[in-house]
Amino acid sequence: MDGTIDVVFWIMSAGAIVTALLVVTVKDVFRAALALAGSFLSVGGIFFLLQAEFVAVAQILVYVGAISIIVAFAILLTRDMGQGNPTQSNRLLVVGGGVMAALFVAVAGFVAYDTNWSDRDSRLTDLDVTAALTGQYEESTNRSGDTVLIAFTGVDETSAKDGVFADTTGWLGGLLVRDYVLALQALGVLLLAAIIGSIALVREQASE
Amino acid sequence: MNLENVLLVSAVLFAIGLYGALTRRNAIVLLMSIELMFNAVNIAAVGFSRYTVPAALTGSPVEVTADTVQTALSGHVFAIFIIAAAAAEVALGLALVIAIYRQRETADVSELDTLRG
Repeated sequence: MDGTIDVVFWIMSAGAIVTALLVVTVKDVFRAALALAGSFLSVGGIFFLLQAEFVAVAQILVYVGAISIIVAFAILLTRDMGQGNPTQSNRLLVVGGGVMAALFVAVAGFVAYDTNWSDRDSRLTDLDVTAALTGQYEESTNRSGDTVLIAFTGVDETSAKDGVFADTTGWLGGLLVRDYVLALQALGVLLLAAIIGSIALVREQASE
Repeated sequence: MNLENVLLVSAVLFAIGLYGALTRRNAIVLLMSIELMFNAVNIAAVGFSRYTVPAALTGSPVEVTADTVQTALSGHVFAIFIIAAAAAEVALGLALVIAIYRQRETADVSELDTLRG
């Protein structure tokens, strides 16, 4: 089972990376937009594998469903056949962009693999924590092999599932309207302002 | 599939977006590259949420309360906020591109140099 998840993860990752490369390399802007939708879809698959079902569905609804369509409309409204998707004429900038991207991968990869995440953040194994969060175990072992008592208070144990955060959507709803309610309201205002701004920008001026 | 691999994929996607944002001249492709970078950040946030554990769960005995479960889901909340902010950003950005295209008949950012001294 674990092996299957690994295979699916690498397929999704390869899909996301290849389509992302297409976005920044193909000459036809419309094909770049299609590749972008493919990349969004693969990333949504990665979210599913990370047990973030709500984020995955939001990703597919908002990115694949809405943003890709908006981008496609914008391309159709500004289409310039002769222009395509030109690279910067300044060769130095192209080389510099490549060098910066490579350096970023090198540094971030080094940090990711060199940091001992599990020792720093947890004395419990992934499995135990997942089980604890889903209310499966009452007793568990931590990384050093000691038995740890897990007490559940205010967690619904009946919603436990195998190795999946139980009821993430419900928990997320609680988080959004309690801890992050101010950010949620600000986000609503931001979206409203963005919609009004977009309409004001592209509205046909009647008297000019 | 572990945190390191997830972070590596996230870093590669971010780097591709960075390269695109630096080297493309079409304004719409620039926005698409920025969306790629948002996506990469989301993968990292959700990955951390999945594979690392809030401090409240590292003691012994561990007490799993509604609060600790919700703390473990903070990465998801960040990802959702980033998705919504990206939607607002892309709507506004594309409106700007269309408005500029109407006036200048171009979506090439290197030709938008009115403010160059």
